Amino acid sequence: MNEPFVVVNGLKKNYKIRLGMFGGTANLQAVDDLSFEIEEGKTFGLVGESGSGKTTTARLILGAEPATEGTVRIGGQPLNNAKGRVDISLRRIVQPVFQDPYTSLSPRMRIGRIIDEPIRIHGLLHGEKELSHRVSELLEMVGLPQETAKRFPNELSGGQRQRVAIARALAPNPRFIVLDEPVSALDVSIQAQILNLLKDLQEQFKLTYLLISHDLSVVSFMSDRIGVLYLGRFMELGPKSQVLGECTHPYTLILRSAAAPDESTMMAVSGEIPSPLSPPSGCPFNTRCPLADERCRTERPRFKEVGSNHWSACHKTDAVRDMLQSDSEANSYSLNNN
Amino acid sequence: MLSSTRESASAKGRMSPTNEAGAPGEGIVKDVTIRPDASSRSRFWLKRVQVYTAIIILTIVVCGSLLNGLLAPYDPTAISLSETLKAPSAEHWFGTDQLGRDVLSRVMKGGQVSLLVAFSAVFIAGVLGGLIGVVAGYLGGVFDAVAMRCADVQFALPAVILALVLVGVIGSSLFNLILILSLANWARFARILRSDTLSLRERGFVMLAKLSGASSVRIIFYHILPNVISTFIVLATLDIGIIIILEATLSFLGLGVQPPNPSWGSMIADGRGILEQAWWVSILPGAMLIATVLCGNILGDTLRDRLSPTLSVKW
Amino acid sequence: MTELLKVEHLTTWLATREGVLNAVDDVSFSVHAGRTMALVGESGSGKSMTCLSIMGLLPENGKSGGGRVLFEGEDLLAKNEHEMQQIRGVNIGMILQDPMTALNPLFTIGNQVGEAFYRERLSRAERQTRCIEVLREVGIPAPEERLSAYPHQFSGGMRQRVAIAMNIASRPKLLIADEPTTALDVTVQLQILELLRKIQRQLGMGMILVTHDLHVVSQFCDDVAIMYAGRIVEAGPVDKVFKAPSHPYTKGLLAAVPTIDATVHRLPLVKGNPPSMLQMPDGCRFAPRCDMATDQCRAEYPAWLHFDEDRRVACWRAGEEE
Repeated sequence: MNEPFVVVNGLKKNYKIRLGMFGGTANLQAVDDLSFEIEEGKTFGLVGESGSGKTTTARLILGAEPATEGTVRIGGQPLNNAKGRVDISLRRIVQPVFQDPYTSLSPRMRIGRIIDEPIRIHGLLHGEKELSHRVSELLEMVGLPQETAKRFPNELSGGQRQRVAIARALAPNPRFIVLDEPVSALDVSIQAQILNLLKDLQEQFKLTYLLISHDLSVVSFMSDRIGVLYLGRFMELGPKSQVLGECTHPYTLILRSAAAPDESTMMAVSGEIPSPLSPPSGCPFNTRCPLADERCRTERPRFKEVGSNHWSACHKTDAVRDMLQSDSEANSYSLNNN
Repeated sequence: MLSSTRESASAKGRMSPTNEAGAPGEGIVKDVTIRPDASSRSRFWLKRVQVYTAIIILTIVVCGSLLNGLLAPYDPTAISLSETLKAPSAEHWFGTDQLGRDVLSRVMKGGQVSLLVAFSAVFIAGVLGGLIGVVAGYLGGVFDAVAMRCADVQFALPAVILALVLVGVIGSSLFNLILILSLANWARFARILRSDTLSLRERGFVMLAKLSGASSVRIIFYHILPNVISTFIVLATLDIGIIIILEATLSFLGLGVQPPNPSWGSMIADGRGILEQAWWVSILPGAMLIATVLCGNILGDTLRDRLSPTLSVKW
Repeated sequence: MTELLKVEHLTTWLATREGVLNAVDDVSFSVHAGRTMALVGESGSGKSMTCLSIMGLLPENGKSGGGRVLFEGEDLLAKNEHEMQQIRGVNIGMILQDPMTALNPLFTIGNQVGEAFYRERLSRAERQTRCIEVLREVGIPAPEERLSAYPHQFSGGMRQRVAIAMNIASRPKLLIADEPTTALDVTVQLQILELLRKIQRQLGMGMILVTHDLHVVSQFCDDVAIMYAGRIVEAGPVDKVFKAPSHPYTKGLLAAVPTIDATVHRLPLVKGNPPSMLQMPDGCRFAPRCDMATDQCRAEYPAWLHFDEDRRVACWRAGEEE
């Protein structure tokens, strides 16, 4: 049977936090029991606020730190081998692109060297000539002029740097790219360019993406499936059209209205994400949820299937559906209506 | 929609760009060139003069010291009892000391020794301390803990006392002096480059290299070292002054360069008893010492400003 | 409608190691009491520099070299530092992007908010009551207990509320908010913007909201000025500008925003990058990225085209088509 390209099963990460100089330790559950799959050539979007555990999830999947529990399989291969180390061949086929194009490029290296570094590390090509040929090929793929190779990162704009970061990620012919907030540091017009580029590259090379963002509109543009994270847990998980169109969790609904605020769908949400050190009992979202009642405060909702391959952790999925229904009847004023 | 409101687009608006109110040209500020005002200009100018003076003085000192064999008017160790304690004159620019030796020649020779010792010691201390710092910062763990406790010990021991002990144990020679001064100074390099490394380690590009499978050695050589070089250069420039003074202190105490070879420190020590009759014997080497250290510091500060990427021009 | 702030031909220069650049170039706009004006642009478009010029808070390497900033008829650019101090924080408040930089980590919230009343020589108790009042205004729960708390004990959104409290305590006539929500989570962003709108209406303040988020503009602002490479390219009431943008850059920006309803496969976009401030193109600065650019666009900077009374656009081609 064909296994999806990326399989994440029961992923958990705990951090022990020292409280003060003499205090005891507290347990911080950054990621709590995440399971999801990404089909080859598809994009999975993880959306959540800061402190929701989305960056920790990315780090776990990249093998930047070990998971407390759970497994990650990429291309049918476990991420961690018997010794707990990440296999070097996975280091080649999994590449990250980070948020900040200002710190993710070494300031004293020329662009050419930055891009060909993964090739050198894995010894994929030999000889300066072949390397520089490959670099110009990669620069062309991401739409940068050839002479960029001789420049230093500080000579480039934010968008150009993010293109360089993408070229670098593409260099060792990866199959899976983890995009951690790839456009949130960029301006709107540049964002669109980068998102389009990422889509084109995905088609061209059959890349699999894990896209992490706080911006639901970016996630919805790129993704096939979406997972909504809150305090390290999935609130909702499913195909894009269902999560956005028929969302069953109040938090998704709130994120939706935050991504496209307009009077008709504006949903009031009070407060801020609680500290993961002291998560609320019951449903993690109950402190901010407009629908929360006694049951939500005491009983943690099960993550249950509400549609085909569409999961939600809410006691009140029906109430949410009703709200969505009434909203969509009100005609909304969209930015793109011209 | 536009066509109906086209009338209100005043013809004047088009005629005189950037100025709706009429009075053509008033709003056009393209030709304005802003110049720094007088007070800030003089501040800027002063800074420049400072730096160039420092460079010129340092060049003279370094050339005079290194080429003392060619340039010195007299043999720095030649004793002439008929010419003791002569005041500065056309013949002896810096005068002569108790044994009739030419002070200028001795300052030049002493400068050679001082600079040689200082540069070698900074080089050894810098490379050793810097590498320890970078490796400790990058690897962390036991190596880091041990290295940093060693650095703490070195900081806790006054350099002069450390030197006194070491001279007692290994004796005093030029090589030992360099060794002692290196040992007394490596920890500063280790500490500062370690903290630089700690912040670099968290930067995206180091993370990226790690996730691409780069080894620690590769990351240290390709990603960390090139980014701490500027700190290293600044630190080394500033450290040269400190080491010159330390060397002078040791020589002053008789633990440094041994007679008959002159050094700035021992020359100041030699002249201190006769300061009232013959000030030039210790004041002039002292002045050279101060000038060199001061210029070194000015240059170090300037380098730090220059090499920092975030600096902007100030008006 | 009273014209509170009138900026005329404001021009600001920045000295950098690479040369002197024109960060704000001939910028004119007005802010009316009780209205919010959005200053929209990408990074480097000069929107923050415009605000700093108005406040007289330019960095050491910046200078305003032309134009006037009339606040209630008085030219702020002509005032000296001492006179500006009487205006900043009293008549004009400013809220920064990162609330952590606006708050001193070593002082309690009560201390810092109380600072706003120091001119009034209040007694300790009076000052405390006033602090509690203003903290309650910005929606901080149980303000009595939070007076002795330090900034790090607050979440990002709460800190921004405190920063707002500090700025509205003296009942300013104008509030400049420079990307007040960029550092916050999306759900908290809405809360802060709602709060700003509420307070603005209550106090009848004029407000300049600097942002790059067009959703925010469409939702919370009355007027908008779109900046590109140091100049305003289009300005007018939000609903009119957004419904029928006439500058190609505005059109591009509006189209480039991904929306969650869109099922588009590719985002329409503005090609290329903004020009380097040091190598400004002749003529229209947007011309190198513009599909409609003509020789005239490349040679000569477009003059304002006024229409609809309150709308203006700096484009040679505007109004030609359709």
